[in-house]
Amino acid sequence: MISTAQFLLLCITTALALPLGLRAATPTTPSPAASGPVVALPPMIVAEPFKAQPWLYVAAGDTEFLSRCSKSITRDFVTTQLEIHRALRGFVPPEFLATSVPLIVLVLPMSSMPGPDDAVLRNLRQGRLAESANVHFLPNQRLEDHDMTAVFNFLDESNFSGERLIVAEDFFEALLLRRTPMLPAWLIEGLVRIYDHAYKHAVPMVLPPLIWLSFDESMGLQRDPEGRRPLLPGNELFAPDAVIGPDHTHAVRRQVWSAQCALFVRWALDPAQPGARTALWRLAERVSREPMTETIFAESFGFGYSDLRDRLSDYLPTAVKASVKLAPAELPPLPRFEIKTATVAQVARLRGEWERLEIPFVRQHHPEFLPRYIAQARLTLRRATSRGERDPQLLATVALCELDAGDPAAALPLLEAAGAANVVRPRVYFETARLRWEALTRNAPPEKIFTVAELQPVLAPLQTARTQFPPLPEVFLLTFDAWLRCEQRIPAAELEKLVAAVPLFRRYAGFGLRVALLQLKNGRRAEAAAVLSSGLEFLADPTTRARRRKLLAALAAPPLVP
Amino acid sequence: MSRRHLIFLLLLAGACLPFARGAPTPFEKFVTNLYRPWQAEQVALSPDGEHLAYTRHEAGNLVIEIMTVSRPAPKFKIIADDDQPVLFAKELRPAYLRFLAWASPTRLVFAPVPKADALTSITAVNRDGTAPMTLAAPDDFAVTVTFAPPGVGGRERLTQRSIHIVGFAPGHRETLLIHALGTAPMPYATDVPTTLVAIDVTTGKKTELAEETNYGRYLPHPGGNLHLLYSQPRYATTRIFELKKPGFWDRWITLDEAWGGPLTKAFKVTPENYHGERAFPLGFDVDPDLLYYASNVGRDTYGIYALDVRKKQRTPFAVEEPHVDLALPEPGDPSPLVFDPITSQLVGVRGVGVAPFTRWIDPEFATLQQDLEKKFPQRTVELLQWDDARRRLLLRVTGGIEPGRYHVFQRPENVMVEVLRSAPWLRNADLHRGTTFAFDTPGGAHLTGYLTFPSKPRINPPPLLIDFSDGVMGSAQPGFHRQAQVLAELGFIVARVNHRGMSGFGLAHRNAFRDGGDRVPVDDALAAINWIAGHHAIDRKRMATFGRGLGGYLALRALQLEPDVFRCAVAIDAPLAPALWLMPPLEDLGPGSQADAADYKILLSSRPPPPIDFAQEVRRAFLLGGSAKLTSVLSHVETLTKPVMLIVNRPEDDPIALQNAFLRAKLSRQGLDPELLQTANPFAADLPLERAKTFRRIGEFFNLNLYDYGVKVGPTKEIK
Repeated sequence: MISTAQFLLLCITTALALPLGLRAATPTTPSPAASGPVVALPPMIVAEPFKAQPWLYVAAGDTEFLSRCSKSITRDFVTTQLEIHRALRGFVPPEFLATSVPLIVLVLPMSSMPGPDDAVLRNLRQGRLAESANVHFLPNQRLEDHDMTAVFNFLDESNFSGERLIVAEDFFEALLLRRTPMLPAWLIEGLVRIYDHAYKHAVPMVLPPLIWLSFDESMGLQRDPEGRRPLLPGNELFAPDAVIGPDHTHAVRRQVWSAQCALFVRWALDPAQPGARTALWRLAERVSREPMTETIFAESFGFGYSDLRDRLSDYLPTAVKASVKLAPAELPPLPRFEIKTATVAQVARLRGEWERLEIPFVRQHHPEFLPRYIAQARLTLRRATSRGERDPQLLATVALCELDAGDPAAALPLLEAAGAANVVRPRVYFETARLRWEALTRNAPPEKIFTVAELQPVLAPLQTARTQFPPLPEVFLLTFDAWLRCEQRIPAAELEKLVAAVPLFRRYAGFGLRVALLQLKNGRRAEAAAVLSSGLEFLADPTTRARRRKLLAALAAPPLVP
Repeated sequence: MSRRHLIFLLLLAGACLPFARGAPTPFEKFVTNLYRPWQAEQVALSPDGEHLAYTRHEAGNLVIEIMTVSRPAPKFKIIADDDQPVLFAKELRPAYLRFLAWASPTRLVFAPVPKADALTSITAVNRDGTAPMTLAAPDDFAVTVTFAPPGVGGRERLTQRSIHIVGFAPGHRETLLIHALGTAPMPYATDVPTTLVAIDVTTGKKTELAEETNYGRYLPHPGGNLHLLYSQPRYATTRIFELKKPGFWDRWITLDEAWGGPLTKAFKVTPENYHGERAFPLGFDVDPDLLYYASNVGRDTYGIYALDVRKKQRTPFAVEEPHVDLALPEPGDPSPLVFDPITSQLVGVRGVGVAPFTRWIDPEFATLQQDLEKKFPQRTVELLQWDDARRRLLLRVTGGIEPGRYHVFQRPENVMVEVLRSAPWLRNADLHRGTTFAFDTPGGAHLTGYLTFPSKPRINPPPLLIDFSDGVMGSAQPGFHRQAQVLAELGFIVARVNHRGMSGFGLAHRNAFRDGGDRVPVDDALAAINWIAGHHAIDRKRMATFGRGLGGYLALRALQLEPDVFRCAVAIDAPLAPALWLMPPLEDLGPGSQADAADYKILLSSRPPPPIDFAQEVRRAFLLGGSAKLTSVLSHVETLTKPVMLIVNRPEDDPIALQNAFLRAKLSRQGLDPELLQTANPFAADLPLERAKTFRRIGEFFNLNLYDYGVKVGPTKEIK
């Protein structure tokens, strides 16, 4: 039943696989095996109790917390959050995780968590949900935008223990995926697989015996350390197309690749391999900027791919048998924080941000409920704006809300206002530029080119976005596209800046290509070839690689003289 | 003394007890582990690619293990043979297989290597151990020989015949072809023939296909017929090849110009041309008119060619390598020719250069080889076997730091499955890195070799050891070398140079020694030192030599010729006066020495002359027949001014042992007291524990004479 209490809080129930920002070690939801097939439920609407705790606000580092739990629980929760994130940085050095991606955490007591909405269920049962289906839901959830992340948590205040909190696996993966320069796939796969199975509460972390390919394979190796072991050669393990392309996609190969990535990372982190941990991070730093080669590997580890394959093979029987206690890392002190009562603007902005983030999700999974979510987000944000609040962050949220709600006309002036107030939200500038670019090119034929003056309204916000964190690939891609349709050449200094950004997003196929086209436009044929050539080794898709090779061959040919 | 102190002392004493008992040191453990018999010395992939059979040594037995390739499953074990006790030693001498192959996806055939005093049988068994069957036993092929010297009544004796396994009949794996080998004709005795027999591996039924009385080596033919004979006369130094021409009264004819065309002129073998320019057949193609042969006539290295016997002309087929002989000078095993087991077509030619390689004629394998080599950089990849569908390939990967790993490449999945390791008790991280090198000397010689780098050098830069290994006439060595690993463990960069005089690198390479003498390998060692110093940091003030057999001789000669370069030398079983060593023995009773008492009188009255030792004649022709004479170490003892260690693994009355004892006496009189290590039990010298003891002594010798920091090191002399 839909409550008509003071405000509505939306909470989406989803499949277990849905990414969670923070996860209680004892989940409140039965496992899929126990409850049968998992069905994503549509949003449920939660009423705020009439006599609820006041909202508390905490800012610590890049994270803002908005809590409705008691002050002591909030303190414990925030402290634990900071501790587990610090411990994570003992597992992976902070420079290899995405930085400067603001995090918003909303915390509510479990007592305020409602059951699923009857009307919603009724609606669903008429459609895709069987009458007999059991209904469970996962209240905790993480939603992501281009330049920020938000997490929603229910806490059982009567039984809360910080020791049961961990950084969820998918959140960890997101931190790796969003890191710039982008990390190679083998490293992300290896770290995530290891982290999935690690005893995360131990400090330093403990890795249990490795599950190698399958239970049978692992038991087989435990029984017979000289048993068979599928292993990929080093050059294939680290190749960008290791599991992409016609000859590389067999299920067995994909399984071996994934397991071997984990084996390699585990081997390198095992304190029994002196120097390997340092070598791993040295290698990771280099290959996030340069194509992986055996020479680079040997410079980091002191031996080549064949020796690595053999060492991993020798290590495997130990890995499936024994746990590994990782070496303790030197960790920075926890940031100090202060718990304050949240202002109306803070509550509206943070809750509004969360509700805004739900809109794209609902649009994708439950479009029939979209209007209610849009209305809810607008209502939340209006509580602050109607009081005359003009905080740039709030303006940015309202603008993005209108954009996500599908009203770009309403969004543009708000985006421009937030930009004019120098808000630090790169997406705001990107969206401003995108809307202007769409307006500029809407009725223009594809071959039409523009003057610098015409493009300036597009390029100016993009230039601002490029100076902010986190760096967004779409900002650069739109900049490239704009300059490619400019009748003038791009100024040399500007081109240099764009070329300098290439290492950040090498694994995007179109990134290096556009830079190369800009260089060609400026008559820098050799530099264009160099960018394409260095980017080639980062490309995974064989078709794209073939096209890129063709282009390089064309560049290598002498230019046609008219 | 308090109780606590007493307990502490007791614990300390307990901890020291193993050392007091003479427990092996870590170094000795390293050596014994290196020299343990490896597993997978024989390995066979089943025709369906699903199972792999391989040998390993376990608790004094030679065991065949059968594993499943595609999934983890328990292995099945079959005891194939037992290791043999060694006189006066605790260790056992490992048994080996000479044949291991799948007759079908479920049936395996194997045969142990015959022991010194007994012939062994051939056995077939299902992969689950059921239906075991002896396919052939020595008694199955015994023949009665009548021995009747003039004036003496004939005597009959039952003689067993050795079994040579030809292989499965082409296209018929259920039929195994063997030769029951005849013996060299004896005066006054009836001939012992060679018989070709087909054995059904399921029923054990034997069928005699052909029988020949000519003595020699019958070269295998895919069809199994006795088409080609490498005759080995007892009293002549010339060997010829004979051919059986069907339809011409079914008789043997000499494969000469008249019958094989002008090419076959080069097929005659004598001690003088053995290491010279000549040609010799290797075997027939599945087409019986096509004979493959090796030849270095008109070129430096042996290439592989084909002769159309019907047309008496060479075909366009040719496989050649610039610096490597593609065939060993002795025809037969191991044959460089690789045939597909299904089609019996020639698919490749194997060669042994600095590393083993295969020149694939089959284009599918040629492409595969290239792809597979990319998967294992700095390693040698050998494509050994494949299943009938060519979906699973068995590879051996060796070289550098790796003793050997076997992989099955599953082509549909594009996944490599490591199935076996030659020495799983050796960890990659504990071994010493190795590499190969190749360069041209200023004199134009193309030299290759192997370097092994110590993972924990005792001093930096590390000292260099020139290991002459087996010396002159030796052949290319494996990339992973146990002895090099041991010497690297002692802190050396170990250089094994394929110096001139060694076999397998062409005529000019080998004959340079015959014409230039012992100076040639020593010059090659000096050139290698210069090259190595240009590429790796070495301590040129601490360089030593090492060698075994003729390699030991070269190690000592290097010390005599270049005393300013080398600090000391270790020589094992070195013939110090090669000319004496190559002299024929004073007395040879010949084959009659095994006769029983009843025959003894007959022997005394009609003893045949001893047979020709062809191998010794070849050595004599090569080492003593050239323009340069081999200088005896003993004749220039006064030039031996640096420390030497002499190791003798032979009985005290052996000529080499006597020569070493003589050298020691002479050096002692000069005031240079060399260390002579006479192995207490020569029968066990090649077994791991004895080797560990010997290497420990060698380590002590180097500690004293090379690592002694108190010793004044002379000025560095540049080698030109």
